[in-house]
Amino acid sequence: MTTYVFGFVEPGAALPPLLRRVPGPGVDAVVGEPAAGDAREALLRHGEVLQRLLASTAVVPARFGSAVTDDAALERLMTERAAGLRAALGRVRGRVELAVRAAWASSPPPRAEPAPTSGREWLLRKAADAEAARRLRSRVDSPLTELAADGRWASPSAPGGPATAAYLVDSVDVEAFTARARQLAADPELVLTCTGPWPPYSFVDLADVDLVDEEAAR
Amino acid sequence: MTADLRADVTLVDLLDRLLGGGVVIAGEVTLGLVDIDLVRVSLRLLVSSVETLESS
Repeated sequence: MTTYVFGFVEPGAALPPLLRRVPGPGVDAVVGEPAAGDAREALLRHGEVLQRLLASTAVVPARFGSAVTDDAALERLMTERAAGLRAALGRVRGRVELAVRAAWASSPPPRAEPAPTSGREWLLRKAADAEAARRLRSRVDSPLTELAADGRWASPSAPGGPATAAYLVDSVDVEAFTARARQLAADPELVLTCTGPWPPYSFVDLADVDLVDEEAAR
Repeated sequence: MTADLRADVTLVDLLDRLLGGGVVIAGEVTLGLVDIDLVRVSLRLLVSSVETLESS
């Protein structure tokens, strides 16, 4: 019987129904049965549990699909990585994640432009794409970062596509942050959406808290 | 932006997070990700708890 892990929370935090805690040093793991049914049910449940935990406690989400051999294996992991887990929880305490997607409204859809006919044209277009991505970051990322404790910005993976960003925002600053995002969304030169508050999925320092269940890994 | 489109944006953000975020527990059992199209439908229930700002 494996133990399915949803995430890690403050010791003694209130849990939604049907979940159990596995206490560790300074942090509790939230575990339960993986949802019966298909991947869709499991995804739904994982996201819903974390969203509910976020309402009442600091929470470090586990990656969807994380399970360990049994409670004892989880206790060993948490003891070995206690400092990293506590640090991860401390970083996100009192904070939530907000997600932003942004693109230039004038960007042509991918492949709407004819293919470049020469190497020179290809290089010029590549330089223009890089410049557009740089300007997008300075227009959007800079003002939002001012209101965030931390941020992750990923430039468009394809020319003209949206940049995706995640921000870790103090709960007291969420209103100011979303107000600024609304201002940016109202700019006719930009197409921008902001979603959240999310549990801090994007702000787990993997170097600190990668957990290895050696029994299962063998 | 229509309500449907807003829900779609939120859904994409949710899937990004569920599938790409969180502490990695190595040796993990990864559940098979079949029927992603069907996932989109059910997850609409969940995204109603999350706010999406409108873009112009």
